[in-house]
Amino acid sequence: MEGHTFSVYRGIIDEVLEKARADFQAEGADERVLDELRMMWENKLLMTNAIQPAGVLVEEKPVQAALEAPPQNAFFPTDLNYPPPPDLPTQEYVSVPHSGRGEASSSAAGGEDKPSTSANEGLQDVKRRRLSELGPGLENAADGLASASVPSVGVTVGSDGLRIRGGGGGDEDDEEDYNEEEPEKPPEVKEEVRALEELEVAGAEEDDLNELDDEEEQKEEEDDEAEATANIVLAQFEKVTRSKNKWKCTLKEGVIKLNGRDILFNKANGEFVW
Amino acid sequence: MASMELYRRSTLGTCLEATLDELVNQAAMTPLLAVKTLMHFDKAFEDALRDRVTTKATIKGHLHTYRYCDQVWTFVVENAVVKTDNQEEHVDKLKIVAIDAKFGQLASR
Repeated sequence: MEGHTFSVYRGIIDEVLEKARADFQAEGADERVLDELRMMWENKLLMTNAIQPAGVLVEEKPVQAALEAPPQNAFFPTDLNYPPPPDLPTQEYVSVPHSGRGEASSSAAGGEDKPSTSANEGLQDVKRRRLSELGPGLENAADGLASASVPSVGVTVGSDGLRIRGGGGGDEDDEEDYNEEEPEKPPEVKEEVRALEELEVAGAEEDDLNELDDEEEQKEEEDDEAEATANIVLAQFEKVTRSKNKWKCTLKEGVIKLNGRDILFNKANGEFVW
Repeated sequence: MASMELYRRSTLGTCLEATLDELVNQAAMTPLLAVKTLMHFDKAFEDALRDRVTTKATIKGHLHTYRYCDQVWTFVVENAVVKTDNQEEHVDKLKIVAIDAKFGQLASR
């Protein structure tokens, strides 16, 4: 399913860039920017984990990191949510000197050390090759990820959970939602902004937390709406009907953002009870 | 065309917008080219969903909020179950934003 989304998304990227190339040519703009655009776009997409292409590095890397480099992980004790990023830069820097040392030690000291170092060397080589296949863009992005304080992500997620529970059931819910209906735009815009921040995993999330401390009540209201928009269906409707409290709708050509992943559909039926 | 801007809120769309923002801020491309690129995206996304996606989905749940405004239906569904061809997922809340298919067709031509 996700593999399918990935291939469709890649097709869209190709098509958009092809059309944009014509625009660039018409305006005499530098077409090399398009290469950069593709790289940045694809990297951002991979970072979100919204699309997990079949048979990917993204899933292999953390396993390798856990097995081979426990000391590195010790520097990122709370990076369970984002294992691959910290892995990338450290590999880059560690692997290069290692290969040199590995050769030296293996040639100088024989015996039991030899097989293990050469095996390590081989793995490092494989990793380095993988890294170079990924291209420099991802390294940069990974650097960004690593430098952005990773722990703050975990904290934010945790507090989200708390806020959700806090604002969850109860009689107040209904009243709040009537209020929410009118100022629809601002929370949505905020949600978009927040999504962008998450994509870049910028340090800005810490500010988010501070704001929460300051105006907890207000935030709770907004978070109700934010939670509603975290899982979202974007589509076209063909028909919406209601009989008594039962609603039915026919949707087409939509995308579902569900638990952080994108699912595409051609047609969808909705059946709701009010 | 304008109505199809809703797909910009997909993950692919937000990533493109962020990228274009960066490139425009770096003066690597003009805002006009960025806007044109977004319009290509709107079209390409819709075309891809129509022509290259065959998945069917069903969504069930408790309708918490409904509204219809400017040819856009918005539903907030609680305890939603989303079924696609080979998987089923539950979420506490799901928001559905759907534009009129007829309006979309007219607008994109």
